[in-house]
Amino acid sequence: MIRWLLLGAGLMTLALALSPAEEAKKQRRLFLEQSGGVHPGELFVAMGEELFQTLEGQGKTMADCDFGKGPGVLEGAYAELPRYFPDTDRVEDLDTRIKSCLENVLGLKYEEDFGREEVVALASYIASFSNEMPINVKVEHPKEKEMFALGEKLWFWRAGQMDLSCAACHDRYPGRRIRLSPIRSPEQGLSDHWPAYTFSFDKMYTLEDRINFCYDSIQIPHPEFYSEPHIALALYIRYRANGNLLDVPGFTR
Amino acid sequence: MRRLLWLLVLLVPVLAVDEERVERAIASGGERFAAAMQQDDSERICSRYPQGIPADQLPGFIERERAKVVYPEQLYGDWRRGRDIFTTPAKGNCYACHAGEPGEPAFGDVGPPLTNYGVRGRSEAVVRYTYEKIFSSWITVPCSTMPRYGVNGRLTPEEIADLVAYLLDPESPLNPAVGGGP
Repeated sequence: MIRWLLLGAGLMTLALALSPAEEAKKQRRLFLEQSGGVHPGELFVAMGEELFQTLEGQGKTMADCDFGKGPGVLEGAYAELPRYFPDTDRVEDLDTRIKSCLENVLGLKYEEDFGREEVVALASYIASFSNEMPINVKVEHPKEKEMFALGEKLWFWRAGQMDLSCAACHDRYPGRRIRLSPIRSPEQGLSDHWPAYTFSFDKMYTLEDRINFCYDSIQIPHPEFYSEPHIALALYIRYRANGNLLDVPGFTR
Repeated sequence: MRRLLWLLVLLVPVLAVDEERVERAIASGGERFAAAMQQDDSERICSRYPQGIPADQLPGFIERERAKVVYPEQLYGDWRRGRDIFTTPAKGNCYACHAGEPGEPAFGDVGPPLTNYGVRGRSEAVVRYTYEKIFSSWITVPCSTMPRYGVNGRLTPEEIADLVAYLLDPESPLNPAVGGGP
């Protein structure tokens, strides 16, 4: 009995000693073994693919949408988002770009013709064309510079009942744990695996959802989807992660 | 040289965003988000100097934080109630960052372990220091990651006094080294 307890304690210490990235890899492997090798994220990618091919409006399809590499080109597009788009004259992240494409090019209405679920599936599909590519976000256009500066402000912005900011944990304590959850900095891959399948909720979530979890957990009601705080933080975090390889659709607890 | 100066003049307004622009971005996140993002004087300073507050601003910062502390009649409450506050996620949620009772394996390591915090004894100075640390950790460590539980009203002065007892009482299971334990 005592021997088993000691072994258990030993294994636990070992698990706690793994780096955040190794821990994530281990959990992913265990889950895949248990689920017969099927990554549930792929189901959302397939759903997104079907939507991408069937949605239409005003005589256009999503192949007429430009995600930054030209109309219909998806390869590597997500690796360079968020970016400035001349047609909307603003910086957009993937979620926002999908919404503005469906609204402006196809003439569809959000929450009538499509909703959050469709955006997430489409984001998973489009992101999958950048899997294993290095993140390559630029801060060149004046509006990209402004958005980056906003993202930096928000990153360090301490507020709410817990007095926290993104930086208070992700810059000061990367590698440590909140309860049992490992903390990562942007450079360590905080954002590299989103959109990700999250097995505790059995759902697919994008980077915007991830940012929302963070705000909710520090007692700040999250910003609305597609709003500037999302775009600004995504630009800031992804810029700091430039060169990291995307791992999408990701897989997480 | 003159060209360099021009470059600087051109660069500055691009890199810096003015407060009004930041407020507009935050407002775009919705009313509830914008309301929660309001800052007090100290939060504003901590956000502005993430690498540390300039030395000349420190004394004023600490003085203002100290002035926010409200004291209950008894700084030392009930350790059993304090134990609940320590563990409850909607209250102290202390295990998120600190190790506590030796039997609890699910703890964070952002803050120092609090196991056997009670070895400090229970002098008036220790009790007062502990109370103030929880009420506003920024008195002793300006801009610490630890939330200011009292300043933000996350815990009442009485609840903080209960936590003080849980941390210091010889009977508290947090303090096996001074006799506490299950």
